[in-house]
Amino acid sequence: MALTEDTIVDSIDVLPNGLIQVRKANRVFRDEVEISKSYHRHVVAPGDDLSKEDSRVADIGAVVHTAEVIAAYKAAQE
Amino acid sequence: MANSAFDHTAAITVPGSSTNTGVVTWSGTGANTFSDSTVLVSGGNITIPGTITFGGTQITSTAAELNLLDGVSGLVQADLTKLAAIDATAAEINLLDALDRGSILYGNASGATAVLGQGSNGQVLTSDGTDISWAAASGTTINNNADNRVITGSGTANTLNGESGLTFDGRLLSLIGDGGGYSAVYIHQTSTSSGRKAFLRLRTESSAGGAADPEISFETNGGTSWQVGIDNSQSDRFVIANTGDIGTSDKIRFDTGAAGSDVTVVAGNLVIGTAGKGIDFSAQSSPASGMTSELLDHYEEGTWTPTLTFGASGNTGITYSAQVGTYTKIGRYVSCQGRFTLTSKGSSSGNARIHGLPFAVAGGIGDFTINYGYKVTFGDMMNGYVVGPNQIHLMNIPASNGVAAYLFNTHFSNDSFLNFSVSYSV
Repeated sequence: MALTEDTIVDSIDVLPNGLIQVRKANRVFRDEVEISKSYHRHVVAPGDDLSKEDSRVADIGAVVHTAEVIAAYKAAQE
Repeated sequence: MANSAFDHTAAITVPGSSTNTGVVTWSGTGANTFSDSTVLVSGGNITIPGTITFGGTQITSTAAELNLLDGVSGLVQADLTKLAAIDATAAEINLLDALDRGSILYGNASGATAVLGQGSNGQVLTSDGTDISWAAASGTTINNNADNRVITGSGTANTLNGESGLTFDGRLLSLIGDGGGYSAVYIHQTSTSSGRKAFLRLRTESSAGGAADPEISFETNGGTSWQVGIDNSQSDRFVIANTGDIGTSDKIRFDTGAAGSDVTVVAGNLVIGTAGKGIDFSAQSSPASGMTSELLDHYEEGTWTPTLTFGASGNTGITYSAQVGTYTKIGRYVSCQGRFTLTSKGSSSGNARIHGLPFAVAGGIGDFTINYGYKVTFGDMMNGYVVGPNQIHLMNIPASNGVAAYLFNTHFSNDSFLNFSVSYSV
């Protein structure tokens, strides 16, 4: 019996204002059969550092987070 | 040359030859003419260099009557001898003469033609592979026969069985259990010593007490099986079972009658396989006037990581010994709990904000509640409000005037601790 685990980004939602909702799934396997899964979420805001994000999230952010989107988002935070 | 009234015979001798002689006799009746005449040539051939005319019709060498044997080949003297031997008294001809009604000719062991006389009433002509003979017809006995029963083989020669449990009345084919076991119809791939493989089975499992669980089973070569049917012992609930019997390996149950009409997923989860689909409560009466949806299409549990900033994103030097957050999302409603413990509040300045919410906030509407705080100085009540789309501004509300004001970095210590709850809609 071998127990293994991994973490994947299993959900990426891009909202109209540029926020990217990211869900990571931590999965535990016994003999390659998934026996457990838990989620961790965070939201990537326009202007946030993308270098620490999953590559797919970073790629999306690079496209979505234009200067206009970042400016609009920051203005909404004031 | 001799001459008589009606017979004329002429002896012909080739001059100079004592052997080349012949006699021609022409006989007939009539005074002055020959009618019914016969010409007899005692030996040799008749050569006619001219033509022969019968009744005014000339017979030539191409006449059809003379050409009957033109296409016959292989006819030799021996054949003509045999033909000559066949006469009205030949044995073979005599067999036909004496052939009785119902008799047949056949070749016997000697290769001769023989007669097989009539068999007895009911006998049939059989062969042992060499000879033929009359023999009594083999009868077939059908045991247990009755009206509409289907006949099956018995494993014993000339014996069949009428199946009381399998009947066909011209419209309905019925397989009837015996009350002590079960009856089944199998459609299967192979049947081996270890049992049937890859089958579809229609079965009514019967007990002596009369209870019955009619079911349809599907089984693969590997032995995986599914059953759908009725569990008679459970108020006739409808069941989908997996690799086992109904009642012991149920996966989904549909209750009926006194047990109600519940649907129970016995093992495993009920999975909504398409995003946006869920449980529709629209059959509920009297929805609120502001109702926007009665579809429960999302449920999720997980964790999130609360972070503290001073100002919009100031987090220089802020470190933690703990950052813990959990959330539950039901439909559009998100309920979060979180806590963090600082080991340094860093050097950034500005109003205190909590970031990291698991979902973006819709419309900036939400609740924030401090459950517990440590080394965070404030007036009389600390509160906060959710600022769209994903941060919380912490507030200080003094009792003296009730005018809320921001909490700033100066209200925090290097070992501050906050435990809080947030709820909002997405």
